[in-house]
Amino acid sequence: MFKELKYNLEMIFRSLLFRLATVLTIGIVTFTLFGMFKDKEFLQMPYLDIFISRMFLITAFGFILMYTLFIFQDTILLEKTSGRVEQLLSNGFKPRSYWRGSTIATLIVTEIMIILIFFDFCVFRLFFFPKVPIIGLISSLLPLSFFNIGVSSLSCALVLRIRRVEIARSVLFMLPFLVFFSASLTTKIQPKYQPMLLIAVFAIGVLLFALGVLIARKLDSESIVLTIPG
Amino acid sequence: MEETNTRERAISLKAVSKTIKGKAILQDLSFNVFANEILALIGPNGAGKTTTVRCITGILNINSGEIEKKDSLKTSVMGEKDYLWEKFTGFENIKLYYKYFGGNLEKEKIDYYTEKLGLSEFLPKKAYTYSKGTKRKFSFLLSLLSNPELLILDEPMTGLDPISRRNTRELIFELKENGKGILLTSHDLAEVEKCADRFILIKDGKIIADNLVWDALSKYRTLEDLFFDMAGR
Repeated sequence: MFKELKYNLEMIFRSLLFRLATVLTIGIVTFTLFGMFKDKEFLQMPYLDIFISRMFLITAFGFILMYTLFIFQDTILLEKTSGRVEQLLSNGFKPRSYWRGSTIATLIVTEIMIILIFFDFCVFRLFFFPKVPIIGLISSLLPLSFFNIGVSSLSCALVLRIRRVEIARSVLFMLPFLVFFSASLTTKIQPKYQPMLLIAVFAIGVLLFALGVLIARKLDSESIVLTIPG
Repeated sequence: MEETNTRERAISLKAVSKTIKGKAILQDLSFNVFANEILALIGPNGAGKTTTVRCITGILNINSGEIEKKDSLKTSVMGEKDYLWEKFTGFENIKLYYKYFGGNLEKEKIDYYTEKLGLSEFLPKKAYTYSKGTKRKFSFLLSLLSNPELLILDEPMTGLDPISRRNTRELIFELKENGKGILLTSHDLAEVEKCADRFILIKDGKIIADNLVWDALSKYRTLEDLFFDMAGR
């Protein structure tokens, strides 16, 4: 599996699109946070701690999904649509190891991104709003990681398993709506209660991961090659 | 026939059948690929050539029959499409191939093949700038990096100019002389006449002719005539 992981990581880190996306993401998040935190009215609003934690969650969701899409353009999606996956498989790459390698590579890179966004939030929060502990932000990290594992494993399995790979793209686009709907519902039911939202994120992550594993169980060279588009 | 039995077999297909989604793609396919031989797999579109290649490389599982390979046979495939890493230079493509697919060809040989195929000037350039023919030749070069005993070439001459065709053909002959088995698929029957020692004609997943090229040409004016006669609809 290490060969497949190394291959995917090399393809990601050498991609210009990925490097540009990273710089842009950090820039956008920093700029947005600066604009919000320098507003004194914003700092006076009730439940600010919960609001900031939720904002971190939503931002991280958005970037997990956007990043996964970016990464896919130069890795698994490209390999599948161009047909190079056949060359990889006929030269010693194993189907399930390839799935695991792609999933872990996507996961590693998106986790790095989440941690960078997290630090961005922490720095602003500590600078402008030092009295309240950052436990709300820290507690969001674990459910987010589970969500990330779920998204990575399911989307990699889908890309390898289906012919119409644009479905995987659509799933990635649809997921934020599912998350926002759940978040909105949770906020209505329990406006002050953050753990409910985190539990929902955690549960969605586990569900997506289970689905990914289920789809990947049937992966073999034949099913991958016969579903190469075109 | 006696000569056939004493020659070293690289790979042997015995009554191989393959069904995909209920449709029989290959039916009782039996043939051998020998070392020091250029074997051409020809046939109409959808006859089962690519499926045969995929079964040989192990990408597809066969439903019945057997594929026997020589012990620790090293196989390399040049696919129908060019699978170059487009954003990388020629040098980087070679490095990537070595790193992940285990190339073991000496540098002198790589330099020789690069020169022979007229690729030297393209090595520092990014692969997306290559023409179709250059990409094809580069794919051929990559397939040689693992120094395979059996080389499978899917439409190797597509998009090549006459000089490149001749150079590629000469290189294929050299590889054969060095003891390698070569299995090529092609729709270009004139090229098969020039290149192959033996051909297998497949239609609807069945072998309808397995013969030496010179023998077929003693009965037909060209392979194209034979093709129309045997596989024409």
